[in-house]
Amino acid sequence: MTNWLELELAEKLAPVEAPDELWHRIQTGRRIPARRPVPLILAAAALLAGVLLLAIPAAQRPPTARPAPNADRPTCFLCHSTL
Amino acid sequence: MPQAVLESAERELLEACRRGEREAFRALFETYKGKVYSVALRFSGNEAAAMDIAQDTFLKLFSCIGDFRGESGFETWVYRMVVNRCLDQRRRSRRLLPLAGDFLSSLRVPGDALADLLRNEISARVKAAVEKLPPEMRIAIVLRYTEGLSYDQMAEVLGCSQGTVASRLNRAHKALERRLCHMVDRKRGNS
Repeated sequence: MTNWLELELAEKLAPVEAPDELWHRIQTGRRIPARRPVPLILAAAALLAGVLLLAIPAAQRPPTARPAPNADRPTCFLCHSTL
Repeated sequence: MPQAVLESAERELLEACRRGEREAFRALFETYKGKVYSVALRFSGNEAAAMDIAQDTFLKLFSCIGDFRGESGFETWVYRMVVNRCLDQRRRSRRLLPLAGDFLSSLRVPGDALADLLRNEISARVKAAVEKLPPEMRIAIVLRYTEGLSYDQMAEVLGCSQGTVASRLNRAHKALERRLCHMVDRKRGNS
């Protein structure tokens, strides 16, 4: 093995001090809730969808399907043509 | 007579822990916190994960201290615990968020000194290369370079032969050399 690699590994993987918070966490059993990637991805997707919805001009949105006025009233055929 | 492995002061400390003396637990924690946290951090490459591993290790250690029979040194026993927690943690979680952590930490790099940037870049690449190693090779590298354990000690901690330790380290070195050799040329070019 080359010497440069040993030197780099010894330097870059050197021991570190443990944070003071560690003892407190052990005593209290407290644990910082792990950030789960799935909820984050879902939140990001929802945010993106919201931004896109706001960014698209209303004119470009597909028209909302609405029932024809009085379409369900049989009397409508008396005064309106279906053509 | 396995108890001869232990120093008398350490034996008294362990006895005090078995009696549930709070100060003894604290003293044990102070003795081993650096080793446990360093192995956890260098293995996981992530401070939050390292805190979880270290916390789990000490909780397990305190709760199982009665099981320690002195068949090996106490330090070896502690290393074995943190190594097992590291490998368990690795099996449980896939590293997704640390990528974001790496990105955020890269934003904190002072941008005005070229030497600092280069040093940080090299450091990041070495750590990233180590993190890409398979867990068995990575833990061998961490025990060797973070804790400076001998092949003999590593074999005891990892529960394998010295030949296996040598083989894992050899394969890890070769993989790291392949991934990092371009840095040597760059460093030579800059010096």
